[in-house]
Amino acid sequence: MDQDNGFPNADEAGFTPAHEEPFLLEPADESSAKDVPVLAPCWRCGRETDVDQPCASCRARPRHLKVRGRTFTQHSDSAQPFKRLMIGYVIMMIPSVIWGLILLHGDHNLSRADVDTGTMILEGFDTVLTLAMLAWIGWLPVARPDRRVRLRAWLAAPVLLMAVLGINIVYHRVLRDAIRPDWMPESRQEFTGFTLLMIAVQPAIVEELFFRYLAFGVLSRIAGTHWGVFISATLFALAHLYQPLGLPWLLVMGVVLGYLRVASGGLLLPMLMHFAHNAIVLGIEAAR
Amino acid sequence: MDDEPESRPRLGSLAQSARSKNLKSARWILIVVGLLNLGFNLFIFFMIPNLAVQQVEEERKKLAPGMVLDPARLEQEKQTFIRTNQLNAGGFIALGAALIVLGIAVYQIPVAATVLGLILYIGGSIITVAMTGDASMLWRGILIRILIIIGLFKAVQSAIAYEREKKAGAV
Repeated sequence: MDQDNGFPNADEAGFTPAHEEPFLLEPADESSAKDVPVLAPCWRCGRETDVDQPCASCRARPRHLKVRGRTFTQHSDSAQPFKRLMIGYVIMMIPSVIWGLILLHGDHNLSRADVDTGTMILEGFDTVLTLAMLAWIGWLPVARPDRRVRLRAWLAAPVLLMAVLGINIVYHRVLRDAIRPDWMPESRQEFTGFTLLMIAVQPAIVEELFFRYLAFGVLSRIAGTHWGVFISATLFALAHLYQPLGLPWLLVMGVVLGYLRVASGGLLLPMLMHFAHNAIVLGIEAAR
Repeated sequence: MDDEPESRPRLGSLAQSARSKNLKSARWILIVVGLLNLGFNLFIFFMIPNLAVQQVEEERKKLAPGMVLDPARLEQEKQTFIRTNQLNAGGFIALGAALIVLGIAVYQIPVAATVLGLILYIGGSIITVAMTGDASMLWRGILIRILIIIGLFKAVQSAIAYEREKKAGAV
């Protein structure tokens, strides 16, 4: 258990970090009993498994490599999930950078339809990328905490939602009043099914899958729960670089959603919170 | 900077020595990049009012003869320019300070420091391009950027293994 908060850590959850070296498991001596299972961390999820059977945890098929006539079984490279996460994240940033350049420095008279089209393309790309990353990185189980902790998380969520909304509104109002830049006009949104889908539903599902499942899952295994929350929140904030002045606020929201993910033991609560927050903000902007 | 705390386990194997070397490189990369960021953006922060005056003069020169700028609007635009750019510079100053702190803490929290350092460095580079609108900034010094990223990446791998060895030694 983490000493201060009752959250089980990744090791207690049954995840055994793989050894970085050796990367390949040498075959057993031929004279040894062939029916004794050889255990090694799975190349995908890192849990110990019989090297000759599909992984009991994530069902990954064993990978065998032949080198100079000898068969080796690949097991986990402990930094591999992190490398894949960073590759996926950089790929995700590329269209965000392009869209950010268009919004911040391009034609400031883009029509609503143009902005909606651009947003749709960007979010479609993010959705496909997230699904691809889920398949590539694999299953990242996180232990469910004690029932009392989970209950407290669900009870605290509405209060946290109000607090987060309040901080959002005050922060952006102060920013607009203090700076009043031409490129930060008052946002005008209509509350339609399309805008609800683009602004509330899709980000709640896809961003939570990427940042609170994949990123947090990988980072908590290598850096611990609290650093996992903070670093995944940093990734979340930086991914919204087309709202550069909103980065500090997004970091706060990322941390709150991260701890809700840990405390609830699942993704449903942060997804609902993210959806509710975005939908309420959309409603406020539409009503203005 | 070389004063390793006595509580840090002495590294015996060649592998641990190599990892420690990677962590030391990461420390210097983070501190140097942080100092450069901090220094440059501090300079920019204090130069921004002068830059605003230069911008106003350049706009005046573009005016046709007989045309004048609305003084009230001009002053508002000037203040917006100063506030926005000082805010940006402030953000990068904070980034520089964060990188320095992470560099100093690399032996205490190796994985978190190297991972966060890598992410902040990549993120900072991308945000610079997004803020300035100048995509060519990404290519300037591209070789050095790539070497820094590779160095930090190796440091992350080393940090993961270093922490695991440390825990295994402590058990």
